[in-house]
Formats: sequence, C-alpha cells, structure tokens
Amino acid sequence: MSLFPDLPIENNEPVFKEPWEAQAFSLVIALHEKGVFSWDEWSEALAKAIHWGPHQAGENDVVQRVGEGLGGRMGEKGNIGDSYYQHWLAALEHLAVAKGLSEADELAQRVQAWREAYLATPHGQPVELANN
Amino acid sequence: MTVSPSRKQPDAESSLSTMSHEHDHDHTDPPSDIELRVKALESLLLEKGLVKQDALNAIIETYEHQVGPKNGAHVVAKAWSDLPFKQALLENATATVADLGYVGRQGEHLTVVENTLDIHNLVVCTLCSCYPWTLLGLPPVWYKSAPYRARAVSEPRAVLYEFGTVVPEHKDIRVWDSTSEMRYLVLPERPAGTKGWSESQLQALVTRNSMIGVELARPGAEEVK
Repeated sequence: MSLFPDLPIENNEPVFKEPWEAQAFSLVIALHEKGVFSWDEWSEALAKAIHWGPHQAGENDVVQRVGEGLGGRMGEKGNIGDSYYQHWLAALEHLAVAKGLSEADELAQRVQAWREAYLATPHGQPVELANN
Repeated sequence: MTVSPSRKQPDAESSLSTMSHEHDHDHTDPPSDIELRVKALESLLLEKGLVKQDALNAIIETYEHQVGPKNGAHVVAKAWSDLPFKQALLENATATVADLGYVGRQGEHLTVVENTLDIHNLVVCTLCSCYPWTLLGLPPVWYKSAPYRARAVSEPRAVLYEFGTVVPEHKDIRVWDSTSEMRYLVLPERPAGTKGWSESQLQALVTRNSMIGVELARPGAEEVK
C-alpha cells in the first residue's frame, strides 16, 4: 500500500497499538469515502507530516502549538512504527484545516473542552461535552 | 435475586493492596493529549455531518478483529492449565501478564476477576471505553455505547440475557467499572469436557466476549462434536 507509506501491517491488514489509532484511521477512510480529499492529497499530507516529524511545531501541527503539546510518553519514540499514527493525526488535522472542515482555533478549543469535560466529570459517570 | 452490581469493588476484596490508585476523586483524569486531539477532531467532524458515526464504527469493526483477543485467550488458557500461574494472575495481574510480554503502553493496571460457581463477573467502562486492549484488541462498538455503559450497572442480568447468557439466580453478578488507571479482564470458568486439553486447544474456546463477561467460554468436547 504505497498510499500509506510505512503503515504498520500484519497479515496484510493495518495494526493498531491503541484505540485512538484506529479512530484516526477510520476518520481518514470515512473522509476519503465522502470525497473530501483524494488519496494523492492524503499521501502527500502524510508524507509531509512524517518528514516534518512529530516534534516540529510547524504549520502542520495545528493543535500542538496551542495546546500543551504532545505529552511526555509520546515524546521519546524513535522508530516510525511507534510514531506513525501521530504523524497520521497531524496530517489529518492539517488537511481538515486546509480543506476548510475546521480551523486550528476550533480544534484547539475543542481539545480544551474535552479536557475540561473530563476534569469536571465525577469519576464513574460518562464524559460528555456540556453545550455543543 | 442476589444481584449485587457494585460498580467499584473495594480494592481490599481483590487483593490489590499494592495498588495506590484513587477511586474517590470527583473528577476523571483526561486521556493523553493525542487521544484528546482525536476526540476533538472526531466530535467536530461528526457535528458538522462530515462523517457519520455508523460509517466510522463499520470501518473500525472491520479492523477490530485483526488485533483481536488472542493475547487475552492465551492468558486465560494458561490460567486454566497452570494453577500457580492462575494464582499469580489473580494476585497481581499487571506483573503476571507483563511476564508474558503484555504491557499496557500507558502504565494502566490490570485486575483479573475469576468467574466461579457463585460469582459471575461483568466488565464495563461507564465513563467511555477503557478496555484492556493489550489483551483484547479494540473494544467492540457496543462496549462503547451509552446503553451498555448504563445498563451493565443498572440491570446486568438483563444485559447478559440479551447476549444469550443466562446466569443462574443463585450466582452473584459483580460489575467492574474500568478506568484509565485500572482495566479488568474476566477469567471465565473452564468449560466442562476439556479434561486433558492442551493450552492451545483451550485457547480456541476463549472468546473476546467471555473475557468481558457478557458470555461464557465456548463449550468443551461433548457439545462440540
């Protein structure tokens, strides 16, 4: 699958280490199926994100600049297999802004809204965004 | 009826004296920044109608079996065949599964709860979808659904019935609420008719749902033939 350079693959299928990776994967597939972007556009965005790396606070990292940045446990990844979906998400955020689906501010605010929703939710109750 | 859905089992009961996590705080620790970013983007795209929840679920379902519950099945089959291993697993699951190479990437702890003649265990995450995914792969869509999250606590017996699992009246049902710090895995009862089976034979009987506790392990010899 040259569309997804370096995609972690096992038995010809993508493998996910954590659920958020699958969520990010599913968003890209769904947006492509909806015709929001072509695979050419996607693979270009992804290749750029991989090239820039996860630590570069460049224009691709729309949220990272505003939020707290990637947490410590995300920060010490050496090989592409571990950081692949970090790049994937950065590329997706970049494309979402480039395609006018969202704006960097809006994304950053939403990250903060979720963080606050967790902090405001008593343990054991479902976390929901308050007013959207 | 002797249903006793206690959402948060006291730690003392599960031999977790070494665990220091705190269950009483009145907030929920947010997940990692990258998980929040995915949630942010996903919730915005859903609201704007740019993606549909059903479509996302279908994509994830396609892949969730790929990661699959084989690690968990390995742990369960080993516990069925190896008593000292089982005892270690029930006493300190985190360390015991780590010895097999199954280590959570975010330092979360694992507790294994054993189904017995008197007790049936059921796992939920009322909060969101905390799940022992190093052992079970990606959580199924229903596990993340609001009805399951609520009803597993309020009417576990009815939920089990809907999964085709009839728990005898005399059995207590214990419901375990997963958190970002503590994940639970059910050790199902070893099915009858499996005497002398090898670990890999046993492994084939251990389903994902049986390790969440919504079903029993697959039946042994008599029914299989």
